[in-house]
Amino acid sequence: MEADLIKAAMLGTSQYVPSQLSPLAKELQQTLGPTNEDKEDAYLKLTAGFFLVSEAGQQLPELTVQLPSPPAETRLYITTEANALLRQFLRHKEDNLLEYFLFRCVAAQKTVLPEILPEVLSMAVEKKARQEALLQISGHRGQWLAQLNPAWQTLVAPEEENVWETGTWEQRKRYFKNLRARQPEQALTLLHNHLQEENTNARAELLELLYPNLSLNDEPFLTSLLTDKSQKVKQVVYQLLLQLPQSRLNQLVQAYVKAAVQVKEERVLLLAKRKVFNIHPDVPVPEELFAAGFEKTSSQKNVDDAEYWVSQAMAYVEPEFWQNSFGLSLVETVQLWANHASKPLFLPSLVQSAVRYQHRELAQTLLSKKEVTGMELLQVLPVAERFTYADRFLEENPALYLHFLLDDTYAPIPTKLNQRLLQQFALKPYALTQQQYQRWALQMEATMLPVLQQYAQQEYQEYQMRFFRNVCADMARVLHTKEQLNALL
Amino acid sequence: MFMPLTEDQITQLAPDAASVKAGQQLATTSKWVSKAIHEKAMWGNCQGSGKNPYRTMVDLQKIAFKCSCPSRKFPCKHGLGLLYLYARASSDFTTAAALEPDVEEWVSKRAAKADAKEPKEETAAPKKTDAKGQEKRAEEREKKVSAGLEELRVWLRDLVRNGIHQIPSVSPSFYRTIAARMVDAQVPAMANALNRLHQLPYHQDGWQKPFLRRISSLYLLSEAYQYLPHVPVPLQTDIKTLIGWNTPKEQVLQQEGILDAWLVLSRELEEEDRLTTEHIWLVGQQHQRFALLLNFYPMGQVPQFALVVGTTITAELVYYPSAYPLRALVKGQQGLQPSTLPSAEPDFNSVLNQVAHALALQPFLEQLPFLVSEVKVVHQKEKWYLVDQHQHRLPLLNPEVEGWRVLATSAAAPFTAFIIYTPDGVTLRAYWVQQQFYPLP
Repeated sequence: MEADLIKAAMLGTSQYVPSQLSPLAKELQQTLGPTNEDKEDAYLKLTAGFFLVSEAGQQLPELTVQLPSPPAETRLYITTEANALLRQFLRHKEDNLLEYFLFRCVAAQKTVLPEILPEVLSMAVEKKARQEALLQISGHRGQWLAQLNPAWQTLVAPEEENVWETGTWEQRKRYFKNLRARQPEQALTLLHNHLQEENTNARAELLELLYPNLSLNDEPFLTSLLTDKSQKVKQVVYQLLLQLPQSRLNQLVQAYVKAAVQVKEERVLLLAKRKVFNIHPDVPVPEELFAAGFEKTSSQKNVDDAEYWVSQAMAYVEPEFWQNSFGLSLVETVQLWANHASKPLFLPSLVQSAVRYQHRELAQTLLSKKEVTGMELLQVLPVAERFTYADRFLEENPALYLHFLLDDTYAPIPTKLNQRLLQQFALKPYALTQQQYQRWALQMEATMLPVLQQYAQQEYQEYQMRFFRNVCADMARVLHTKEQLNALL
Repeated sequence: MFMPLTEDQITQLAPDAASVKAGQQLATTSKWVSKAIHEKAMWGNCQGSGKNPYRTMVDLQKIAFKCSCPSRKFPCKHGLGLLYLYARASSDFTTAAALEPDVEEWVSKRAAKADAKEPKEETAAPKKTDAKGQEKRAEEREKKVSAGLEELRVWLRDLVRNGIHQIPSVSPSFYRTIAARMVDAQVPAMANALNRLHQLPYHQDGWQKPFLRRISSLYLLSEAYQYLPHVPVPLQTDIKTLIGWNTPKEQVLQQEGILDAWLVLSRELEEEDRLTTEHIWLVGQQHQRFALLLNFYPMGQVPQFALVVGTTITAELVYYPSAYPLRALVKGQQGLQPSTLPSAEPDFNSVLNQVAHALALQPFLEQLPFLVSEVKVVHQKEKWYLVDQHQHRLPLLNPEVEGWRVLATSAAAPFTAFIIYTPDGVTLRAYWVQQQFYPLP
């Protein structure tokens, strides 16, 4: 009957009028009949009556779906207050506070309240970098829910076997990175079998992913790639081989440095003797090192070629090399290079070596020398130790120094140091972005609140200072919110 | 007694999303020079960009705000910020034994105003009216309405005579011309109904059914108007209201109301033609009756609020006359009290029986509120359904994300739901899982 009514409406009553009426419709038509003006009038009243009668007596279809219940949570839920803060961070895209929330929530081993799971899971799909933490705070309920929604299933579905063949580039990279972390040998075999099927950029990117777990087992494969037709790929391979301790190429570097550098003794004031490094100018650099990216001449004036070659090679030798090859402690090594006439060439190479091989002792030794300017050495040191170099670096480049103080564990920066930094940034407020200021506030302790408020309440005429006042007000808000979160999580 | 509001409830009070953000960012003690709470009000001084802090007050008995800031938004971010701060850190507030003088003055004035308003509304003497003039105007309007409705009937008949196959591709102007004629004929409600026809989901299969239902119902309404003296008196009021006659508030308020503890179930804002309509659904805990409060705000006017979803107010409500009364006005409000889970229909059969009963009384009802227990949400073939304990299903019309939210919170277990029934399906507006109330925006 309904279909007949719709057919009449679609064709128009000038073409078709419902003819096969149900008993109920017939009854309706008879009741309405005396008032009918024409067939359109009759049709509209019959239709209205039909829909009313149908609705009043409708029988609902059945739907039997037995959905398994989610497993009980083994972790505690966060409070409603903490959940409200999370909603605020998600809604207003407060990324710094969101990162901090994730850090605290994961550390506290707590689970978000179920009502916010749709937003959390959607973000986990969009933001790969946060995926693990977001899934962790979603708890069992989140995993259960993700299985049910096709848009979220990728979060919980075991990585398909053919993701390497059929996944997107990002999925494939993620798959390879995870495989390399879990089973380095298998990852290597995978590259061995399939690398040549990839284009140049993909080959280079995949090879770079080998770095975190680089070992001598990788050397034969990497060496075989030195014949790759792409210069870009070859450079990546050379870089990996150069920095792989004890690889043939690395040994070549060591042998060259050992041959080219001599420790000599020379007299000082005719009485005392002291050791000095001497560069042997006639020791040839193996051609393979030039192929690996070593430069033959420096772009700077008055730099001796032999010294320049040695300085490049020094960046790839492990700090232990100096003890093993010359019997020199790191203190002696650094001192000898600091005494060298071309120290501006050699000391940065030692800095590179310390950073590359994450050698804390070498970094500390280098930092003890006034001649060393490499602030990047700070990243080799524990955060607390970085604070002690404020006198050295703070005024030189406060933004870069602060950059090295911000770390994933949100280690609190001492109040006095914060105050000194604030004084510097008050002079150059645009040295940091608002996001960076917010991030900094998350590593402040509550004792900084009155200090920030003082800046925030001052009256300024200059537009720069008005900006800085607003920045401080915002930092105070972030710091206060952080304190709220700490109390809640 | 002040029932602390949750952050979600405070968010509902905000005039826009920007105010929510600004308010939440003010929810830090660092911004507030002082803050205090008393059972009647909370107040504080918020340091803004100026020299002197802003004085912010919130009446907690009947939620209202006052602030010395120059913002034209209402409530301003300071009022919201103070409430957010209390929701997050109530212990940071000083509990005051007495109201500060300026707060006392404001709260007392508000109370006095409310007291003065009530008897005035109740005992308002009928205004002196020009009976003859009024009668003449009514006659003229009825003539216009009759002529307008006749025009509409001709238009609808032409529509079905020629067929509706082209409807999905017509522009809004197709309805605008006849709607404009309805405005001229002083039947604005019919004009709105015609304009709304363009909003049906024509991109979906089966659009013909809701379209036919609406146009045939409009036709039936015009028919009912022709036979107005022959229908029961309460239904006459409904018919006239649906066509466009208004019942004056004062007239409604003169009736005796129902005093009950009213649970605020949902609040929804609907924007149409530069007019925002606020729908607030309540249910009386003692009388188990639903009530719909409708507020209208022209463009530029910020919706007011007095009721927060999830709270229960003790109030006297008075219904507009109807064959199936739902729309109501608050005649007097006494304060907030704790909420309890109201009783609900056991299944959809019971709901549908009541739908049939309601339609028998008032066949033009477009939506009906129900509380129903033991229901679940089910997602099947990219559609959401609400399924009762006998596995009967009704289509769920909520946005998809809300379906997932309900599933997340209910964990596939049965729950009690507050739904708005329409012939096309149901919209879930709020639900309870293990006594916990969850409103849906």
